[in-house]
Amino acid sequence: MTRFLLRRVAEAVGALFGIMILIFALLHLYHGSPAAAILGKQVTPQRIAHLNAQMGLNRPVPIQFLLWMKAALWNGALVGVLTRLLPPTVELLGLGVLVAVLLAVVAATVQVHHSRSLLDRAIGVILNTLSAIPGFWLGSLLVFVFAVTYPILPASGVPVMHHGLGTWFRHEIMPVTTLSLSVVGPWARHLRASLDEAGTADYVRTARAKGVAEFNLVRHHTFKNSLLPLITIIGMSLPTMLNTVIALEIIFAIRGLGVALIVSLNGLFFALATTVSLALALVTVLGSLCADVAYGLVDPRIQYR
Amino acid sequence: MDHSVTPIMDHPVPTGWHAPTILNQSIFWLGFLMLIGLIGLCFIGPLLYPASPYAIHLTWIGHGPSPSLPLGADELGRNELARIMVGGQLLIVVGVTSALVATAMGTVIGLAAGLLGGMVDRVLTWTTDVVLSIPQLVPLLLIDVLLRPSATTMFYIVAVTSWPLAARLVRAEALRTRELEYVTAARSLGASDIRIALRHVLPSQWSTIWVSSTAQVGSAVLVVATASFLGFGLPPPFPNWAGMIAASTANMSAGYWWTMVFPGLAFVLLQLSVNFIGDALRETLWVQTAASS
Repeated sequence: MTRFLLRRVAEAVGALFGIMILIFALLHLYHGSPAAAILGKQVTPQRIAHLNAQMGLNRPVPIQFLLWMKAALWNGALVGVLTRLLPPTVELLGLGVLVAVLLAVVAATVQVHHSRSLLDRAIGVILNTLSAIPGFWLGSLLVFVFAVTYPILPASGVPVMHHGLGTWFRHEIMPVTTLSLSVVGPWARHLRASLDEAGTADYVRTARAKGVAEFNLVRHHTFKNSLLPLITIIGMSLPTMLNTVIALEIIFAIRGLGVALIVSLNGLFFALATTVSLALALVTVLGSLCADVAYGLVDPRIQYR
Repeated sequence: MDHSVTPIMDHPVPTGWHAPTILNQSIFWLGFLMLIGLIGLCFIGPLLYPASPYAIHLTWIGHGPSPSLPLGADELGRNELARIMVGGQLLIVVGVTSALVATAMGTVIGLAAGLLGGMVDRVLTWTTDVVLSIPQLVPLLLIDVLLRPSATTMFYIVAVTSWPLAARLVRAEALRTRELEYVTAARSLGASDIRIALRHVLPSQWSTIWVSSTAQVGSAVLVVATASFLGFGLPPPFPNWAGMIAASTANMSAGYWWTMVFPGLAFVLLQLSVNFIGDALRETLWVQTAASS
């Protein structure tokens, strides 16, 4: 287990390193000549060269990359950004995953129990439609209906949790609903397919033959096996979910990583944008790490190597 | 795979003339007709309904749907129907073309990774994983700000950031196909890597490639729309559905529900039609795989 975790963390660090190279390359391409941009038009080449030397821009590109990485990781900016901006984003993402899993489990089990009935088809149509609805539109519609037309839910900001669980919960209702509904379609469909497949296995037939009730059959036999593909698809959905989270943070004025990204890009604050991009990548990388660990917890046969 | 085949044993899968093709699936025709309808609305509609999507009529502000203005007017008094017709054009063109290019890139990369194996496979798989682990909006917005935001920029960025989806699927299939007897036979006859890839492995991948390309179109359209909603991506004044929704959120309190509902509905119809076609493809693929195994 420890060795597996270490290897996964090493892979995650490798992925983050790759992402940093990518971001650095992008910024490097863009900043044709920062010195010229800072000093303006009427300036001698000597002064540009001087400022370039001062800022370390005359050094070889790999050295610049290392210096830039040191600045991005060491000056505490990343830590500051993470402690302030990470919690709202992770809260929204985590709650979204949780609610979506609950919804997917309920939808899929109902579908399997009433297979090929009208209810099955109706749920299928609803899930299909939900997966076609973009999160930013659903979020805007919810605000329009439940915050503007009938003001019963708060539309903006999420207060810190310890300021009162009730208000915090009320603020999270709309964003979390939107986020979970935007992913529940494919999740429920995967879960349903694997429940169906598990239902035809020999051990299920045996269990059914010895008289195990349908509910217990699902609970003790098929459900855990069907969770594995669901965990895989949750891990794979995280980056897409974060796309939606970025839009939702803007709609619901949640001061997390998404808002920081948009604000920094609009103001051309590339240092902040870099740090926030890294933090967003960190969230997905850590999220898929969690998915891998959960995979092993659900299936004891999996050997961590 | 073996579980899914068991129930079919009792009812032999029809092959030959009676094999189910995509063409006799009603869900495919539903999706196809919806897509054709939307493309017609966006590209032929403006010719039949020549109202200007840009002209501002101050007296129209606050006009809801009515016979003279079928979908009402937006917050500046512009014809909403005309804007919706034009507003789908860039979204559809950018979404579809970038998805096709991404699928092509993913196919080449997936074939190379799956067939060459070794170091090439490890580097390509690692790159795929890195690109897949970043929320696509992050590089999209970053590059969009660094370069000049335009539909062309958008097309390039979406294509370059979406290929891993196809690459992963094609690589998995290529790994499977590589071990089949006919590929070994071709190799023993001295066929080159490229010939094996193009003549022996690629033809068996078309269904995978088609399924992944519909998924790509859906996700490309969504990410372009989300970027445009956030104010990046497709630039004004040319309208697009996501930008129109974003504009409508700015004056929600005025109660112009139609400016938010109709562009969103158009977008949902587009996504649904792509999903339906993808479902039909997957269904056909599943039956064909079951029949051949």
